[in-house]
Amino acid sequence: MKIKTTYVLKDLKIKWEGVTDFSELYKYMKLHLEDMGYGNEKTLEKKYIKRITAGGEQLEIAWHATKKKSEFFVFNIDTTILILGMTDTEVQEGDVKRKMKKGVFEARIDAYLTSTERWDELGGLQKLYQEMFIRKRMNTYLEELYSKATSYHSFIKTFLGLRD
Amino acid sequence: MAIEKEYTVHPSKGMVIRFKGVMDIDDLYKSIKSWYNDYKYDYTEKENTQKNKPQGDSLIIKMYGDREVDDYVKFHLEVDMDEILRVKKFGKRYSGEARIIIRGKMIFDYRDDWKAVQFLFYLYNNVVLKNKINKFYLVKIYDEMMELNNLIKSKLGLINEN
Repeated sequence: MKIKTTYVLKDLKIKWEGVTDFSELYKYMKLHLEDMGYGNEKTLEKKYIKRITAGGEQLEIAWHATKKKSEFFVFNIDTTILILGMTDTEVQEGDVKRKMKKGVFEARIDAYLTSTERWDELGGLQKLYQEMFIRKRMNTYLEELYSKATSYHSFIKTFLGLRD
Repeated sequence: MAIEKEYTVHPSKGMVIRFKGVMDIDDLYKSIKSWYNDYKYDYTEKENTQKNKPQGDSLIIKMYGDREVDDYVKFHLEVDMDEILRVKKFGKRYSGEARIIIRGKMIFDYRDDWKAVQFLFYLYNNVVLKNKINKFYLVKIYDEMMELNNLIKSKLGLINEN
């Protein structure tokens, strides 16, 4: 089967070196994807590796979020998270001391549209007929995916206090 | 010089703007984003990095925009704030050292319709369309790249807006 892939956003990088609440960020990034209808907790996470090193914890996380858009197309948002040198730290917020994490956080995001196997099963004339309509619809799909992926990207930046 | 698939408009190392002093990074960032939007470019933020350091934050922001001018030609303009060092906040403004690079290029046959017939693609670019490329597309993208350059310089206080 030949699956066709069209990228909307490729390898967008967000990097933050400093203090933040990584566990909260992890939780809310996941929830954001789920709220948009992109997969659920059981199927989202493809990789979660934690290493304890002398310089702190190291985390490698990979998510593959999907949403079936139509019989023929699926939206995909991939996220790769790499955290280096993560250590515990305390931050004074008013009268309260809050436990936070210090380290280097990096997220990379890809967003792309893929065709389904159903598309390849279509016969010649059927495919031609569908193509006439789908070509027009493709642009709408790509715009929608772009908007969803950039909102996710903005959400992460806002959480980290980066410019958006 | 033969016109290939991509035609670079910027100087070999890009148009480099260096600045040291007080600047409004938030306003600069928003203005560039708005510029892409106003000129109908599809905006992408390739990288947004911030490192908190005792001597001041270090920032890297890389953005680009693509615009399909017609079915054959696409413009691509990049802004790399690839080195904003020792950023410290003073009220609503920031002090620091910035290096900003602007790059621009035209991409021909971005839909790859002519991919299978490379010789015809070469002829079309270098004979049929050559005049239009040099007198229309090139002028247009160069003007837009210079407008973006002027916007950034004016936001940094390097030139007068009028």
